[in-house]
Amino acid sequence: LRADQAGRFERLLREHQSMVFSLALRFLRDRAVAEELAQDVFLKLYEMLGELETDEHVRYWLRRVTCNRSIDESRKRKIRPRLTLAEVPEPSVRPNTGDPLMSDVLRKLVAALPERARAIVVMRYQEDLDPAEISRILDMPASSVKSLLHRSLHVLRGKLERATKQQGQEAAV
Amino acid sequence: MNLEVNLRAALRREAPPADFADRVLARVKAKKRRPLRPWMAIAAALAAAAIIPAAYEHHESAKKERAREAARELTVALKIAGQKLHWTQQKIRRRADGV
Repeated sequence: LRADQAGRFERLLREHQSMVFSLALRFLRDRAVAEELAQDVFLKLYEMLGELETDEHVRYWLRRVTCNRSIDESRKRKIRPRLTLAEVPEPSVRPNTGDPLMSDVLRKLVAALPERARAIVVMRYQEDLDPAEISRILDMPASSVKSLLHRSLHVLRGKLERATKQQGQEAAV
Repeated sequence: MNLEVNLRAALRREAPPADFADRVLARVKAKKRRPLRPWMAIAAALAAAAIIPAAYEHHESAKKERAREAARELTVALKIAGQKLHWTQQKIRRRADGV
């Protein structure tokens, strides 16, 4: 890379490191593996930077590549057997609203979603992307993104509500 | 319970380890030091493809030249030996004839 491109790479690396690392972490739930994957993504970016003209293009490329690599890595490591949305396990820790465990439970539930659903939920709530943007990154129709997001939220809500109700009943006894 | 609010809180970005960027930059630097990049490997293969047949051709022609030279030397040696044999035969004949 030319000197100005090397400077651009370092700026982009520092700007997007949290995004790339967090996307990988949500998929893999292992900080060391997520860090290694994130490093590999940035090394690939270094090779590709000459072809990515705008910073907007770089951000899109990083999200897409991180997401696809995380899905591949997740399948390779068999982190979670392939499940349908209905088969997503119930949380083992029952959260209260406002409970500090709520976020951890939600992260575990999201990590247990099937890959595509997980990618959509992470893109929507970590990256705050709308379904049209998510559909471009994941190469799938926006209608499928909306439908899968809706179904994922329904599953997550159901599992959390059941867990919360059960905890209430236990407290009453 | 607002699930979407809770999801945003649960899935907010996390910072990587403090030395993450430095480690990536170190890997980039190490990669830059690697001598052979794909285009270099292709160039080396093309150069080898051009040089190896020429070198082989040169080697073969040098081998043939050495063989020709050896044949020439052998012919000369045989001629000399033939001449010596001829002189010896003549000497023997002369002695036998009492000349």
